[in-house]
Amino acid sequence: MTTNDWIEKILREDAARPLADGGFTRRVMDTLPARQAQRISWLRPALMMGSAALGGALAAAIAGTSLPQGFIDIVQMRGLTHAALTGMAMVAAMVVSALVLASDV
Amino acid sequence: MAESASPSDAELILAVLQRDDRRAFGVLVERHQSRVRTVLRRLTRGDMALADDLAQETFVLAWRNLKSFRFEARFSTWIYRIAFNAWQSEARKRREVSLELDDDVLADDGNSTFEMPDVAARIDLERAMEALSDGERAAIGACYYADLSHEEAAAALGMPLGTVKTHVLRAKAKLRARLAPKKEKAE
Repeated sequence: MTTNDWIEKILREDAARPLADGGFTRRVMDTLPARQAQRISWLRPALMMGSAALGGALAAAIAGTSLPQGFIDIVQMRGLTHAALTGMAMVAAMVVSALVLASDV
Repeated sequence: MAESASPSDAELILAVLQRDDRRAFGVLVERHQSRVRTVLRRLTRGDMALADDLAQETFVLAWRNLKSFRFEARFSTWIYRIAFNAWQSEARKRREVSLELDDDVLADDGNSTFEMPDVAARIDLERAMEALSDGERAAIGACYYADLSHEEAAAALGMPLGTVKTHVLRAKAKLRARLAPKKEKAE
């Protein structure tokens, strides 16, 4: 047996020597953090986008303007009507929310 | 834990990812704890408490990042990589760890023909390992204790393949130089 064979043998034997668990696995399991909520990963984006949409709709309602009319005004390029401004504000809020979500990935 | 048919590592990982099965992760820990802790004990120069802390940190990190595991690699390779990173981070906190090559090369003719009895070899080996440089211990740990190929070790340790090979050769030469006299004495 050559020197390298001999050294490799004792290294591999040392590595293969089983180490008794001695409660190690239990300690690891006790310190595991709660798993990331993978199954409800849609919840946060939904809450953010939903709250932005709801906020826009409420603002429109309080201001006495019609959001659908605002979007129609925007599409028809009817200028800066109250309804169009409300619609644009709502879209802007949702875009900002989307950007925040995207930067958080 | 009763195991009628022992599930593979991949099956256990899938169980964790799909069903959040902590028991499956426990089986993975049980299965790999011995080797991971042994590698870390050698890397930390026999500091068992520190090695076990790092091993615990390793498995917790594995749990947190399991979704990034790629199934084409062995779980053991992946977990050793985390363990090496944990050890390197810890070593850097304590002092500047150096994985570079040293100049103190010991000649290794590789032709000696003798065998060493197992009895005292283990303790002597632990002491001899302590004398290796960080890089040499890391390379030996990766290639022999973690059973990685030289290529896998290079990737895990973040060092060039040639450096890994040189570290292994030098480490074995140093081990031979330290252990051979003890063997001769024992004969």
